[in-house]
Amino acid sequence: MPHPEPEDAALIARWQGGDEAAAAELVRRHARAVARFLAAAGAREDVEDLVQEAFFRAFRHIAGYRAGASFRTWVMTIASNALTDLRRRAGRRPAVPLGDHEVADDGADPHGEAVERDLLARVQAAVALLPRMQRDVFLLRAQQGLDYDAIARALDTSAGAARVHYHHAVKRLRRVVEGGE
Amino acid sequence: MRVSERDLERLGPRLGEDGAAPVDPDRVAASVTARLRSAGGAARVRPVGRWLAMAAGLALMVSAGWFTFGQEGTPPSVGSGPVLAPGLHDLSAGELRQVLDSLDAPGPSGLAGQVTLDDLDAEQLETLLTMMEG
Repeated sequence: MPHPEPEDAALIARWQGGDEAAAAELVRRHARAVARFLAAAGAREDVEDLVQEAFFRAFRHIAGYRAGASFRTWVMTIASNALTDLRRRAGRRPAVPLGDHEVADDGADPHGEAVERDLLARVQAAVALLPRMQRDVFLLRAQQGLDYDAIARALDTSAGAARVHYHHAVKRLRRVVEGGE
Repeated sequence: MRVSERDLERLGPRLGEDGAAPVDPDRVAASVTARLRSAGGAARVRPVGRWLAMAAGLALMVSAGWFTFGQEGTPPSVGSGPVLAPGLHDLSAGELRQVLDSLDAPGPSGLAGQVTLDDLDAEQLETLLTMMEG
């Protein structure tokens, strides 16, 4: 259940006034979502370190946060930067092995679940290989459920451009998952 | 294995679930606040001119040789083609450059001139993007 933004705004204001507990509450509130964003973007065992780094950067540069925007989405864009920095330092491409996704087995349709699990793993691997802008737009829409206007605000682009990036992301994901690349 | 856009939208909310599972929000909160304490709290953002960021981006593209194709100095003349992506006509030249920049495919062969994206107008950018979509 997402928390209403005014509460985030109040916590941000308290942090700007020096209230460390407010910063901690914001982390607890959004860390899981930021972690899911990073993991979907291809971060592996370093997810928690990257989440920590993203929030640290966010609070250190809180003046860059635009009131009225989603704090969670803003931190996700910072997390994306942190992931890029990490990969650049490590000189590595994203590598997401297939087959490590576990899906709860409710016993309803084992075959269907196996197919679903395989597809999820393939999509996960393909998302990590997308160019950054396509990846971020795709995840903000498909994973986080944002509309194009919100994505545009978060990524400093227009809704039309976000729609085009999403189109390219979907096209490429389908090509990769279907074995065309 | 066939996958539709609807499949991708259905699976989207589940992406990253397993990778995020070990993350402990309380532990992250404690680590972040400890680092903030050590760093002395909130800091001011150093303003960086937008033009400087754009120049850096262009320099990266040019240094990577992504869009340098030949010897002539004239921007390529490209005809109009079918538009595959939705809403390309509505994008500004800057947004079209951003889309092109996000595509890590090699530039099309046969374009003459030491041409960068900045040499192209919106119509040419749109046509080029359509060509690169294949």
